[in-house]
Amino acid sequence: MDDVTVNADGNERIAEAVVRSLDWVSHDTFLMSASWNDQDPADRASGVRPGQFFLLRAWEDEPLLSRPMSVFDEQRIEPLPGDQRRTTIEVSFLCTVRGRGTDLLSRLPVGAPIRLIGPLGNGWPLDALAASRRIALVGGGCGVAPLYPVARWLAERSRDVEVDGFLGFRGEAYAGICDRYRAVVSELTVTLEPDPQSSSTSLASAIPSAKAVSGRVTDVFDPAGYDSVLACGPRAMLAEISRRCIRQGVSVYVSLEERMACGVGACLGCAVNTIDGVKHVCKDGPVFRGDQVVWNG
Amino acid sequence: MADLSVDVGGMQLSNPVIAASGTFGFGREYERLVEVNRLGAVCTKGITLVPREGNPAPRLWETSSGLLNSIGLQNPGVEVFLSDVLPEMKTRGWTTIVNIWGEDPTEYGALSRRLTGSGADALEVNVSCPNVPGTRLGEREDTVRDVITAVRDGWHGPIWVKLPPDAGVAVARAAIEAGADAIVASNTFRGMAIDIDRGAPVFDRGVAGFSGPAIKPMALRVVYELCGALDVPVIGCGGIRSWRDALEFFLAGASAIEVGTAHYIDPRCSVAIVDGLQAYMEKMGLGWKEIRGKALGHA
Repeated sequence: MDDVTVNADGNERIAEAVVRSLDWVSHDTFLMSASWNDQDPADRASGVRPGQFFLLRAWEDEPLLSRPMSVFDEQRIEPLPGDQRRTTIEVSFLCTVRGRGTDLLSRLPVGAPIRLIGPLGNGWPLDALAASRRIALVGGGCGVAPLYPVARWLAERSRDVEVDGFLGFRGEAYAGICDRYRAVVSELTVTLEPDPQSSSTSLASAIPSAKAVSGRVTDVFDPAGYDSVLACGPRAMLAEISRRCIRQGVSVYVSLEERMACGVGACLGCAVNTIDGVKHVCKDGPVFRGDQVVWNG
Repeated sequence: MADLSVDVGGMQLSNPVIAASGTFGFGREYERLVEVNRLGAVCTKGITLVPREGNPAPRLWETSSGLLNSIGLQNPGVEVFLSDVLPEMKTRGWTTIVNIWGEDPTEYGALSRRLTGSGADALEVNVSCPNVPGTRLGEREDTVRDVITAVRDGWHGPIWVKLPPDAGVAVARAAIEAGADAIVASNTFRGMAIDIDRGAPVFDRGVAGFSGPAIKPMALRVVYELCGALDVPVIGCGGIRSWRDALEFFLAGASAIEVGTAHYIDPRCSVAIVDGLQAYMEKMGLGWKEIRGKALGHA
């Protein structure tokens, strides 16, 4: 994992935060933001790097584990000079309701307390991206979340880089999220796979300004011409994207998900097989080089 | 301030709350979130003679109030542990209990010799891991005796033996006769989960180790039985989540307790247990002498 740096910041903390907003972006997925006053701003200067995650908890003992969520966006509100107040940090997460934990999160009212542990893990390889001229971001479902902060980072810092977004959805596209992407990428392609289980909205009407295609993101995405590809989504999608990139000699980075307990590299639960042996999503990842992951193991 | 310090088989701890093996890494992983130096001791991830990769994913499965794990003793091996890990733990001033696992008594003997003079404060002899091939050596009196004899031969400091929950009094006695200074009761229970989509066990090995608040009543029963029968210290472990849980184990006769899975509920859980016990003992004007084993003899 040579160019994916290992948790260099060491700025994780336990933040007792408050829910600021919760907005549904589809029938089963919501964007939730939470904020807290940083206790120790001088020591925590580096903030959240694109691609990092937090453990979320808004309950006592059940479910037992906290839920790992990639950061969708971060805002820091610095106090004015002379103001004694602390820096306010607001982070947002894109969550799909899958089980008890995400269901509890989805029911939190604005103002509810929520405990956040993080930022955890490594972000996207920003140093490697700085040398790239054309970058593709490929996301599937709520896997589009960790790609947004890197798109924003690239848009704010690099003028001569072309960043294209390919976002794939099933049943229903997250229109509001696609709008946010449109503001930070050069060209946005949105794919929508029909889902007979849910009533889908018309793709063209939902995302008027994106190139809209029916089908899967893997139906349309071709890595040719890109220097780097960043991807997050279902494992089968990531395996396919990685395979295509490797075949065409394009650098590919994937953000992986695994069942996770501690989030800090202590329990060794979130194992992922790589050609360099067993690694862990929380400490060595969640971002890995796609050519290092053993996809069938 | 109530005095929380304890003597566990001749070993002094500033308080009886220990981070359990496998749930707390080597302490370093948690040190930015938790005041690790406020714990009585840190027990390391299980260490083996040669590095182990552990089991394939998935390794975790959440249940109601519990957690199944199948980590499979992933660790860097004793040599890397001695060169890169243990010195860092000792630099931080942590009382360090090294959990060791071997395939046979010879391996345990070699590990204990290698750890002599290393700065390890005690060895926790793990004869109860449910996540590796073969039988658990802690299931039988003869195998436990052979393991502890080998460890005692190579190591002159405190020896704790971590037993399977179903080991029973006879196995614990065999360990003590062979030279163990304390009994840790217990390791995880053996459990399993089945993936209803695949119609197959979740874990490759089928069986996994079950821990968390769900096992506390069973772990407490084991500690109560052992404390009533043995005259060496028993370290209680299993499902402890709060200072009240910890107090139950002390009333059952435990000399110290280990906190494991509860760290995933709240990383600061073990430090909160120290604070809770402190406040309770101060408020009630009690010391360990009045608390330890008070519930024994009632059943």
